Amino acid sequence: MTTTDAALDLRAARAAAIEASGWGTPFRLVQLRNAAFWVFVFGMAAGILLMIQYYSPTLGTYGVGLGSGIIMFALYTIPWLFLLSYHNRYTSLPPKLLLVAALWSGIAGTYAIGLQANDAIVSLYTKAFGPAWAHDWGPGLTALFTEEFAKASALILLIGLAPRLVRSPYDGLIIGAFAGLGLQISEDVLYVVNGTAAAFGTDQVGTAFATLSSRGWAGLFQHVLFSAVFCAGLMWLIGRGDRGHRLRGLVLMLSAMLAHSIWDNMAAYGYVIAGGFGFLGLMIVTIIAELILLRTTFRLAAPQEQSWLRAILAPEAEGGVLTDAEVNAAAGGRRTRKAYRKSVHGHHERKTAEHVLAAAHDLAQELAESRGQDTERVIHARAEIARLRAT
Amino acid sequence: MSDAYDGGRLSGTWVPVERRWWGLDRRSLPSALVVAGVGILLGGLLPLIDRVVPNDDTVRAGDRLNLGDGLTIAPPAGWQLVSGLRVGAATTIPDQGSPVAEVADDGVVADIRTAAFAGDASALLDQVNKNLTRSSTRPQFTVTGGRASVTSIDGITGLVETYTSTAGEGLVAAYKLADGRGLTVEVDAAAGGQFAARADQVDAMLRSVSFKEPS
Repeated sequence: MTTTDAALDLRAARAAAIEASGWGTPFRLVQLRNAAFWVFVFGMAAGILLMIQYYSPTLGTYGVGLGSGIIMFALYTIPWLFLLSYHNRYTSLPPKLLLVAALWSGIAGTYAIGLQANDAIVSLYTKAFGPAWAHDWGPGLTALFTEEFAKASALILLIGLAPRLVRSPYDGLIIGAFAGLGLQISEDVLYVVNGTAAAFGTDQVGTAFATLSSRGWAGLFQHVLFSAVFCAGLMWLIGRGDRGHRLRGLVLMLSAMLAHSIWDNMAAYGYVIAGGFGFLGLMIVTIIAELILLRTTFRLAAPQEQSWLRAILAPEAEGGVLTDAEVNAAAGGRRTRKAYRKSVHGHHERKTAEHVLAAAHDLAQELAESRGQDTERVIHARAEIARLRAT
Repeated sequence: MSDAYDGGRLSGTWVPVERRWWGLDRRSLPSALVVAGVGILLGGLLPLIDRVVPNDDTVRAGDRLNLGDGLTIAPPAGWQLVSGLRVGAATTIPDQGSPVAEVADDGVVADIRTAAFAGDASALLDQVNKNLTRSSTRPQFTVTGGRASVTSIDGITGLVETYTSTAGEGLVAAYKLADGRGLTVEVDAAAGGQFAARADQVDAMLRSVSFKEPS
């Protein structure tokens, strides 16, 4: 094969995409020269200490509720992990980094930041405006700041720990989602214990199950969604992503905060808007608006990642490993992939096409890790595509 | 001829000497400072401000707390309302109550809560005793004296027990309502003598329980 100018351009574009996306850069948590690592250590230590302080006095009394809550919400986390891992695509982030986001948010974010600040602000509202005002409006005018900032602090921390890896609003979206999941699960367990205490400590397993039933479905439209949108917006606001979209970032962050506020003050807002039927009506409208907001965020954030992935795979089309259509589909969103699958006729051929797309992503990941060099793993990933075509 | 060494994978993790500040990577400082700032402001400073701002919501004679669905209680006048809603409070949704309330006076705290409970007042008192015995908030919790009954203005009969612990002394009262809810009032005094000095006020509060099923 002769090296043409076009091929050289494609390889240069690949190298630029690997550099810009940071894909393939290993994530290390322990970095003694990194100030963000030390903030992580102190924050987690404070969070663990405060968590123990919160639960230990009543562990003997509400231990069954706490244990049941942990088990039930651990099981509840499993489908979430499948869903969020599915969306951790294109130039995917390392699982260890996402685990750090969830742990920071679930321990330091919940116990050292959120819980402390929430109690303080609601108490200050009560002192300033009276118990009735604080009861109606306090929660929804507190958590939108405290909890969104607590969860977003996971993203800021990870920018400090892995500046090459956390590059795009889509990265912000995924990290935000994991940070949201961490805080949500922690908060759910906390609600189980508070619910158990409120019910005089009777039927603690039942209380845990009731909490799972009531908060489990609502969780689909709460913390994970709020902070996915908020953190994607934050990435645009601070200029990590396509430049010139700071206003878009700010609007997304404010929208996520508004959704959070509405959920926490649903009864009062609903009553003001439409009396007794307001609660249900507002909830339905909010859920629809949130799904549109999330979808919009995905659609705005994905193109940058898709263009990186396309640039990484493009030389493979030039080299005959993949076709242009396969490169487009492998780097595309759900609709593009679906359209590509439909364009292939025959059950066996369609199955092979799906496997080739998955193998193309493997190849892209190997290329990102080798920084575009033909390592043994890259050569093997190419051979896998050839093998799949031959079956 | 060989290409110039570009730092390879290490270029992202190796911190050049001129980029260090007290051994730390200068580039990591902005994110670290922002997160530390958020943590200190929200997790440290706000609770501190809350602690220094005094609570000034004194219970006046005639005030009653709305515990929800027709259940009310009159806390002692002069005590501070820490949490809970008064009857007639200007809530957005009218007649809102709070199933949990707390009033306090100089180290004496009364914790009032109501929730569905399957047994009678005696079983509820047993349950609360079990909770307090297992909890480390009242070390060496010991019931002193027998169970006394207390009848409220509405004819609701509750049971009362006094206790001591190494953290102080107090009483627990338990009531069973006609709608299936239980009501408990826990009064805890950290220092000796404070509880006895307020015995009449506490007794009046226990007799003030009123329940009128909403029509």
